[in-house]
Formats: sequence, structure tokens, C-alpha cells
Amino acid sequence: MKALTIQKQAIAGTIESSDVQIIIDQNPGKGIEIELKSSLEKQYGRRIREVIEETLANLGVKEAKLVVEDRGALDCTIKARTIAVVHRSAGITENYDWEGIEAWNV
Amino acid sequence: MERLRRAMMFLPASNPGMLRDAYIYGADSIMFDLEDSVSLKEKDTSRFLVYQAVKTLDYGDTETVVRINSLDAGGRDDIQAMVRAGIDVIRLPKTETAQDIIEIEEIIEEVERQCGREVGSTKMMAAIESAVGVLNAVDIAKASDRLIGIALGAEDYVTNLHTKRSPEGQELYFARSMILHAARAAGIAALDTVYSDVNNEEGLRKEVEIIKQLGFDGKSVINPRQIPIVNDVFTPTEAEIENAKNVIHAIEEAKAKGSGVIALNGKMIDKPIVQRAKRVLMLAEAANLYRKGEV
Amino acid sequence: MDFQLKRLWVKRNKKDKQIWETLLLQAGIRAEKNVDYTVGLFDEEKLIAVGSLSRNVLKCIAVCEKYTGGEAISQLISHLMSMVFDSGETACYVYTKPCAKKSFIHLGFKEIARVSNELVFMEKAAFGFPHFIEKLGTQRKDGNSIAGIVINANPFTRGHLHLIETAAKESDVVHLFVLSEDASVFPAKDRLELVKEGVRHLKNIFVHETGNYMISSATFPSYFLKEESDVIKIHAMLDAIIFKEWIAPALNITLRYVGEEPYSEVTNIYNRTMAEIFNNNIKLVILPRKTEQGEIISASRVRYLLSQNGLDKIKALVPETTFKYLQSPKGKAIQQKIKKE
Repeated sequence: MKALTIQKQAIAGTIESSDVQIIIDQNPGKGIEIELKSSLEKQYGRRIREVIEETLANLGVKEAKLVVEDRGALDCTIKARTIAVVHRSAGITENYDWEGIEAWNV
Repeated sequence: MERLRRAMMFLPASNPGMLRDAYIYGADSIMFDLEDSVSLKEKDTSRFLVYQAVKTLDYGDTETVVRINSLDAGGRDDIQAMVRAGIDVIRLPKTETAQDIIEIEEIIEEVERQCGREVGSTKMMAAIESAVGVLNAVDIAKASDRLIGIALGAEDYVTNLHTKRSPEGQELYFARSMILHAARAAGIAALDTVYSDVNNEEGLRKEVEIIKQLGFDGKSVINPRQIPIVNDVFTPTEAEIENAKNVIHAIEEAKAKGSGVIALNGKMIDKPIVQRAKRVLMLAEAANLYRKGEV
Repeated sequence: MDFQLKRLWVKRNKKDKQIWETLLLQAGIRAEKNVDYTVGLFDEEKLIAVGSLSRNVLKCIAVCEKYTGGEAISQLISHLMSMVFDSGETACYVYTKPCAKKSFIHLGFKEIARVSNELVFMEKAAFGFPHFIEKLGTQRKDGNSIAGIVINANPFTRGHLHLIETAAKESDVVHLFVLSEDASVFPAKDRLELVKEGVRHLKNIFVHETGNYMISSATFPSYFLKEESDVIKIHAMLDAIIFKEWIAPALNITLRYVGEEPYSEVTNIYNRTMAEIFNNNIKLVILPRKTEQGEIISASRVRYLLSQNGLDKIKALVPETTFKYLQSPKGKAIQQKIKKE
């Protein structure tokens, strides 16, 4: 799909249990930086980062600062929140590129 | 063979915990709501949540339904996401005419073609929530082969009628009867509206008894606690089960004999009776009172 | 199951105001006037938690005792945070009792500064206070004596200019901070612009914004402090601690210039508290105020004269650039606003 660009700070998700809250912002010249807090960080920290990084890569995001507050979210929830926050940050609110998302999202 | 839809549980699509746990409560269908229970500013995030959940999570035999927004409020993206995710049923809110169904169906078909799903595999359901919708119920019910059922949405409907819901529900008799007749005429399911007082179990039971007696196939629920009550009311009695079993025995015997006429206790068994017997056994099976093949 | 969020119209609806105040009282905090948005969390009909916003600051957060430690607070704070960030703010703040710090850390906040047992100032942001300080550090200038000044400049006067010019003469470098908060009658952008124009002739002055890390006493929240506590002093302590611990080290500031205030007890407390906190690690220089025909020049005097149509009398009190601004349509509009207040 056409790469998305982080244009402004955005937030998606909540800090309720089983959810994950992600704040994203531009990060010029510094690549992907993820500040993660999770009650299950020791067990799942690496996995959570992996899911986020993979999703960002699929969306074509190469530079972003993320503050992530995990509350035991499933992978599919982490993915959904990441897709949502990137679209919000890129200013896309309708007519999403579903075909593009579907191409990598299996 | 059609499936059971005794309880259809409503879930706000914005809550990941509920999306995850939805299937464990034993509802025949679960309905992810992208419409009224999701605030305007969480439409996008909720759509992605359901999209990803339906793609990833295993809902087993539970039927997955999604209530989409109207086309001018994000409905097009809802359909795109849900058809691609492989949802079983798309439910239209506030259906007023057959044209409403046709419009949505066209988009569903377009997306099915785009993403390579079999055309017609995504089913539809229509909620009727106004006087106009009730009066057009027959046309609506027959508007598409994709329709698996029509449902009454009473909250908006009573507002439209200039009244309120009452415990006895007299105000809903016409709509219920109309929707039921339309559903039967079209050969699809008739589903009743929600009962919103989650603490009043007696009231819920009474209402389910009424709609079951009218002929409805099931009811929408808004709380997991309501599911066992609905299922319980729809559970056939022992006598009903025995009778249904005998009908099946009679069919099998007739089949074995190569006889075209099926009779039980001196009475002819016609198609409606066979259908009813099969449904009784499905309901009994769902309630663990019967296993297929049992005598 | 989810609890229901409902807006509480505490300024318009008597019943909403009453249930709001009752819950706050139970939680041991007072209702605060300075809130733009209040929401209640309901378990069916029962109000179980409340929270408010004043732009990017969470205020008056209270949860019914029976529901503490559960999902109620998460649902409430998630909602308020989304409100803040969706409105275009890049950070969300809370001033709270130290005993509530742990809960807010759990909710994703980080401590910025703390005033002993009275208050913790916390934030949630993608790029927060550490980033602000890091960026500030890149503005560091060499010199033997480096001074700092913080002003609101509402509007910029010859009094401010006098303070700045004196500091500029006595030090190698002066870092001048203008409050960024939009809580004054002159908009933050215009205040900053007038200061920049007014000090253009001074080569060793560097103008900065305070970001969200210093707020005016008008918006400083005090609802969680004990009724008898000294709000002005605690506010002054917080500002002084942030300046001493973070801002001064980032820029090597060793001097802080302030104006003397013989008539205002508030400013007096403020200056005294600063001296206590700085404890001579940073030298506090208190300059006598500049006068004009025997009267102290102050921004409040300028605002008063504006309200009395005394533009001619203002001419001597403000730099040319500020005077021009006051005569402009923008300035006239602000004069009308002041008159109405």
C-alpha cells in the first residue's frame, strides 16, 4: 500500500484492561522509537514491540515516536490500535485503502 | 439447514475486552455494534478493532454479525472492512425501504468481487426501527437473497410512534406481528428487540415468552446475563422433544419403505410439521437435551 | 461490563452540579470553578466517578471508594486523555496529591516535579518535559554570568524593559522566559511578539517560551490542597523547583532577576519562596520597580488605564512597539474586552 506519513500527534486506544493506548508523533531522523509500559512487559514486551514495529513497517512508517501503555491487549488489538493511530496521525478519516491494508494483513 | 438465533448479543465494538470474550457466553449470534453504542470519535478505531478481531479470533460456531453505520456516517468503510474480514452477517440499522437494502447489497457485492470472496457469501439482516419501516416490512424482507432475518429495533420505533416502551409491550404488537409476518412470508428469521432493564430477569422472561408465542426465532440481548434466560424459554419441553423424535422416526420409516406418504398416529405429516420437528430437535440439541441420532 | 460516561453540565444544570460536588466532597476534594468540561461515570444510575478538564489539565478526579482500584478510573482517564489529545494538545497534565502519584503512574503519567508532601505535577506526552529541557539545552550560551527572567508581559511595559536592561547590563547572557499559557487578556502569541520586538536592541537577550511547565496563578489548581494550605506558596514552590532543578541547569543560569513588589503580597510571597528554594544555588536579584511620575509601572496599571480610556497616559509606560499594538485594531479589541470585565 501507499506509505503513510506521521503528520501530527495522535492517540488511539484506552488504558482499560485488555486494551492498549498508543500515542504517536513525528520523530525526524530518529527512526522508530517505542516507549513501552506493560504490566506484562517481561513476558510480552518483546512481542508487543514486534507487532507494533511490523505493523508500522507494513503501513510504510519509518520514523515515529510512540508511547505505548499496554493493559494485556491481544496481538490483534495491538495491530488494530497501531493501524488506527497511524491513520489518525496521517489525517486519514475515511475512504481507507482497504485493499492495501488487506494485502499485508493476513 | 437454517441455524438457531435464539439470543443475539449486542457488544459495543469499541471495547477490545468484550470483543475477545464475546463468544464464551453462549449466544447463538454476537453482534458487534459500530453504530449507536460507539461514540462519533471512536468510529474509526472501533472499525479497525472489529476488523482485526474477526480476522484473527476464532468465534467457533457463533454467528458473527456487525451493525454498520449509515452510508453518510462511515458505512462504506464499515462494509469494506467487514466483508474483507469475513463477517457472517451485516446488519443495517434503521431500514425503511427495500431500496436501503439494495444500496447496501450493491456495495457488499462490489467488495466481495474486489477481495475475491464468493459473491453472496456475506449475509444481511435488516433492523426496522420506524413506522415507515414496519409498513414496508414485507418489501424489505424480500429485498435480497442475502437477508437471513429482519429485526425490530424498538427504542427508535416507539419514539417515532410518540410513545414509550411499557412492561406489557402493547405498543409493539403491531410492529412485532408485521415483522413476523413479513419474515415468514419471505422465509427468513424474525428477531425481537432488546430488553433494556438488565436487572429485571422476570420481566425479560415474560417478554421472551410473549415473543416466542408470537413466533419469533430469537431476541437481541445487551448483557450476557440475559442469554441463559432467552435460551431457557426457547428450550422445548420433554413432550415436544419426544414428539419431534417420533416425527423423524416416521420420516425415516417412510423413506425406508419408499413410501411417499408419511403418517404418524394416523395423521399426515406435511412439510411444516417436519420443519417444526427439526427445529425442535435443534433447540433441544442446543440445550443439551438431545444428541443427533439419539432415539 | 462497561460503565456509562455522561457529560455533567456543572455550570448549567443544578442537579449535575450537586451530584458532582457530593462525590468530590466524599473524596476529600473541593469543586473547582476553573473547569471547561466535566464528565461522570455511571454504574447504571449510580454516579461512581467524575473528572474534569481545563484545556490540557485533568482536574477534580474522584472515584467512589467502592470502585477504586478497578476499571472505573481507567475508563474515566482514558476518556479525558482522548478529549485532550483530540483537541490538538500534545500533552496532558495533572496536579495531584503525592498519595495519588502511584495511580497516575499506573495510568501512564510521569512526574515532572514535586513539592514535598503537598503536590506532584505530572504529565503524559509523546515528547514531554525531558524533551523540552533537552531542546532548551541546545539554546545554551557561553558566559561567566548567566541570568534568567520569567515574565507574563500582559502586556510588555517599560517596567519589564527596565528589569531586562539592568540584567543585560550586569550579566553576559540573559535568558528571558515568557509564559506560554493563554490565560491572560493579551494572547500568548502577541505577548511573546511584543517582548521580542521590545528587546531587539539588546544583543545578549535570548527569548524562550515556558511551554506548559509554568502556569499563572489564575489557573493553578488548588482543589486537592487542604483548605488551610497556602496555595500561593505551594504554587511558587513548584515554579521555583522546576526552575532550579531543570531550567537553570539546562542553560547554566546562576542568577534570577525579579522586580520588587511593595504592594502585592502575592508577589512578595512568590519572591520570598523563590529565595528559600534557590537557597543561594541560584542568586535571586530583586530590583526596585521603575516608576513614572511617582507611580510604579506595571502591566496591571496599563490594563487599568486601558479600561479607563487612558491611552495617552499609557504612552510613557510602555515601549513604542507595545503602544503601537495597543492602537491597532487588535489592541482596540482587547481594550473592549478589558472594559467588559
